[in-house]
Order: sequence, then C-alpha cells, then structure tokens
Amino acid sequence: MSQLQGGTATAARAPEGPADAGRVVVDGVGKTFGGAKARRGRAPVAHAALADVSLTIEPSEFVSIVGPSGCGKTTLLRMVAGLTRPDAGRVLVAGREVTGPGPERSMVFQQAGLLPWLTVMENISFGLRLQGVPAARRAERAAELVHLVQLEGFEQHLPGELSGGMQQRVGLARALAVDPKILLMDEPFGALDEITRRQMQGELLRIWAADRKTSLFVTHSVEEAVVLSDRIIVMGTKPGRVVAEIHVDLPRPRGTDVEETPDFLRLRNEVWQWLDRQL
Amino acid sequence: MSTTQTLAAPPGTGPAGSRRRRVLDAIGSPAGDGRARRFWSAAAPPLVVLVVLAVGWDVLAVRSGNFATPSVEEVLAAVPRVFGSAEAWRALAVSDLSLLLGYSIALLIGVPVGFLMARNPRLDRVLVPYLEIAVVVPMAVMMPVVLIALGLNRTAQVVVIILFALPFITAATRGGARTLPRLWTEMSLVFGAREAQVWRHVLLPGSIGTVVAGLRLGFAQALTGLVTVELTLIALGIGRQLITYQSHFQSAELFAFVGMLMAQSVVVMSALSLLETRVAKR
Repeated sequence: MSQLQGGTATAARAPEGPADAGRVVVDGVGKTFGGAKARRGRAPVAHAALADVSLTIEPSEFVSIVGPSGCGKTTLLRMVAGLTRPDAGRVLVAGREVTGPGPERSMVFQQAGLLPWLTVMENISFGLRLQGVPAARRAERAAELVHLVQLEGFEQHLPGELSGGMQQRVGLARALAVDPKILLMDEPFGALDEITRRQMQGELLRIWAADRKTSLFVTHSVEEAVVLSDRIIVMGTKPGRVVAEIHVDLPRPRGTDVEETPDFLRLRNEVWQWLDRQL
Repeated sequence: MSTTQTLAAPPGTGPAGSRRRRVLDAIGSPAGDGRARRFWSAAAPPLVVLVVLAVGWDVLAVRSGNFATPSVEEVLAAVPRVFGSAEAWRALAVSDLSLLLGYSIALLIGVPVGFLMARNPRLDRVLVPYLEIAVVVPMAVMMPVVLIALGLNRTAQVVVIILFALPFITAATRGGARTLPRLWTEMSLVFGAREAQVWRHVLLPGSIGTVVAGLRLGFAQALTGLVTVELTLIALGIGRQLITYQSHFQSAELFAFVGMLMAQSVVVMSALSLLETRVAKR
C-alpha cells in the first residue's frame, strides 16, 4: 500500500513508556545549505536540501529511505543521528527532541569509518570504551559480536588487513556493541561489489531478526530496500521531501531469495514507479 | 598406524646456528644472515663521500697555506682531546639545557595549539595569519627584540629557541589534524565522545605521524635557534667554547667541537626519525 505525494504528518507525542524507546518522529524538518556567502561576482545561492519532511518510525520497524541523489536522504539520517541540526521542524527520539548524538542511537557508515590503528576487537568496542565500560566487559561484548558477524579468527587484525565486506561487518558490530535502541545505516553496502553486497544483505537480515532494533536505512538500491524493509520511504528532490510510503508486506524471516517471489517484483516496480516520477 | 615422522632439525638452525650465522655475517661471509652486509651496503656510499670530502679538505688546507685551517689529521687528533675535555662537555650541557627547555616549551604549547586550531575554526582564523608569518619570516629578526625585552641571559636564549621551533610544531600539528577524515570525528561523536575523548582517541593517534614529523622539524629549528643565538648574541655554552677555541687559535679543537655538536644533533634527529618510522608503521 502506498501513500500519495505529500508524505505523512505525525504529531509528536510524549513518551508513554519503554515501548516508545525506539520510536523516531520527524516533524516538519527542513534544511537549507549555502546562501550565507556569495561567490565571487555571484549572488548567494541557497539550496533547500529538505523541506517539510515528516515521518514516524515505530519501534522495531525497519524503514528504508530511497531517492535520487540530492534528495536529502543522508541529511535526514544525520538529523536523526544528531550530527546535523534542522533549520525548521524537529526530530524526536522516544519523545525527546534530538539536539545531538545520544547513546540510544548508533550508526553504520558507508565507508565503515574504522580507526586504522585499532584492531577488530578494539574497533568493535570503541563506543563502549567511550562510555567507560570496563575492559573485561568490553572484551566480552566484542567477542559476542565477532561471533555474531562471523569474523572469528580476525580479532587482532587491523582494518587494512580486511576486505570491504569484512570492514562493514566490523562497522555493524561496532554499532550493535553499544546496544542502541535505534540503528542508523547510511548506505552501508554502497561501496561493496554486488556479490559481497548480497552476502551482507543476508547477514543483516539474520542479525536484525535476532534483535529487531528500530532501523533507518538509506540506500540507492530499490531491490535492497525491498529485501530488508518493513516500509520504504520514497523521497523526491528540489526540495527533498517524502513523496510516498510503501509498506513491504513480505513475510519474515526473509532471505535474499525473496527476490524471486512475485510480491517482491510487485513492490520493486511500485517503488520504481514513484522514483520514475521524480527523475 | 601413525605416519608422523619427526624430522631432524636442519643444520644451522637453533640457538647455536643463529650465533654462528651472526659471527659469519660480522666477518662478511656469505653464509651469514646478511644483515651486516645490508647495513654496510647502505652505509658505504655516504662514507665514501665523507672520505672524498676529507681528502679534498686536506688538499685545500695544504694548498691554502692558511695556518688556521687544520688538516683532517689534526682534527682527528683533536677529537679525543675535545671529547675528553670536561670544559667542552660543560659548555655543551649549558647549551643543551637551554635547548631542552626551549624545545619542551615549544612542544607543550605547539601541539595543543595546533590541535585547537584544527578543531576551532574561529580560533584558526585568528591565529593562522600569525602562524604563517612565523613560518615564513626568519625568527632571527626577533632576536634583538627578545634581547631588549629580557636581557642577555638564559631566559632570552630559551625564548629565542621557542620562537624558532614553535611555529613549525604548531603548523605540522594543525596540518595533520586538519587532514584527518571527518568521518572519524563524526563516528566518535555518534558513539558519544566528548571533546577530550575526540582528542585522545581520534585526533592524537590519527595525526601522530604528522605530529612527530613536526617535532623533528621543530627540533632542527630549535637547534638552529640555539646556535644562532649562541654565536651572535648570548654565548653561554657552546658559543663561549667556540670563542675560546677561536681566540686561542685552536682551530683543530674548534672543528672537533663542531663535530661533537653535529654528532649530538644526528643522534637526536635519528631517534626522532626512528620514532616517526615506528609511528608510521602502525
């Protein structure tokens, strides 16, 4: 089922209890870049990256955002992460306005962002170290996650000794290590080859099924969004805004073989129809 | 039925074999482990150049007829006298104290200021013009200003050394921190890092290679500042010793003493280079 252009407008509500801990509400956010300084001989040019974007992500929901380049997907994700402040509107997590990064949110980056002088174990436990978790507990937690992402035997390797897919597993493990309520992923498989990407999609489905964290996933790949998500937000450009919400009613648990089903094709085509209108 | 066989250790292995290989290597035998051979292969060209320069110097010294110009033989003969002279070591110690104080202060100021400039755009905009001037303009021009303000004493000497070293340490640290991938800092912020933690866990380890390179450059500048101020205005240690040799026409001793200074500098710079290499290998 899809939502017509205009997106949703969900009013913020006060937290009702632990069940709301994983709810994200984006309430009419807007963001404009540039405009303050004029280039030599030219008038200032402002670019509206986002305009009046509203959506809600329910606890334990996996939501993907797809859209053409420049539609503000990453900007929106960074707002939820607390790395970028909106110029208009607000972002609420568990009923509280986001003013910066917080321990209930964690992020997986496109380029992994591993620190090259730290081993796999040290990278995975990096967030725990910042939180002051004792070394023994950090090591225990990191070992659990090494097993979860199937990197046994590579604990003492440096990032430079790992493949791209392995680095992203470490990035995912690092994000999960701090046990966030909300997992944010900015095209985590975008830099990988097709084979590794598909493998990682399967891994993510397996890992997510074990914990079902509220997840917001930005991707350029429509197929990836359909495979992974409960709901897909389609965004348009100029300015960045929600043009459609598509519920993915494929059964869980899923594997990547869901791509062979007629329902998958139907959903994929529906997303593409919305995207084609934006191109 | 087990088919495992215990093979005899090949000859030349084990602790005795390792010692044997080192001895053979030291005497240049091909049966050695090659490390000594590789060392001498690398060291030979500079040594050959040194010998050629020494021979050339000797020829010039003889041909010039200038009695103040010592031959290589005379300088080599003066080396044990100088290296065994308590007076020479005392002079070196006096100057080394100024060098140590000045360089340490430059390091303690320059590294944090460099990081602050990299992290704070406003502060960076304020300080960058002064930093650029300090890097480009020879700090020797500031020496008379320092002397007028502080007098002919160790404090003025230390300040001059700081002025020579500080800009380079600051600039290298700032440059290294600014070139760190922004992703690393943002990642640490996402995981809850406070500013001090960003410095400790990302900035410092991430830019340590450039910082150490800056420290090496800063030391070279500090040494330049020391020698400049000692020879021109405030002769407390090495400057005074060089003047003593000069006034007593002890040119061979003077050359040997300069060699002593150079040897000390090479040792420190080599240590910093080694540190830089180790840090870069992380």
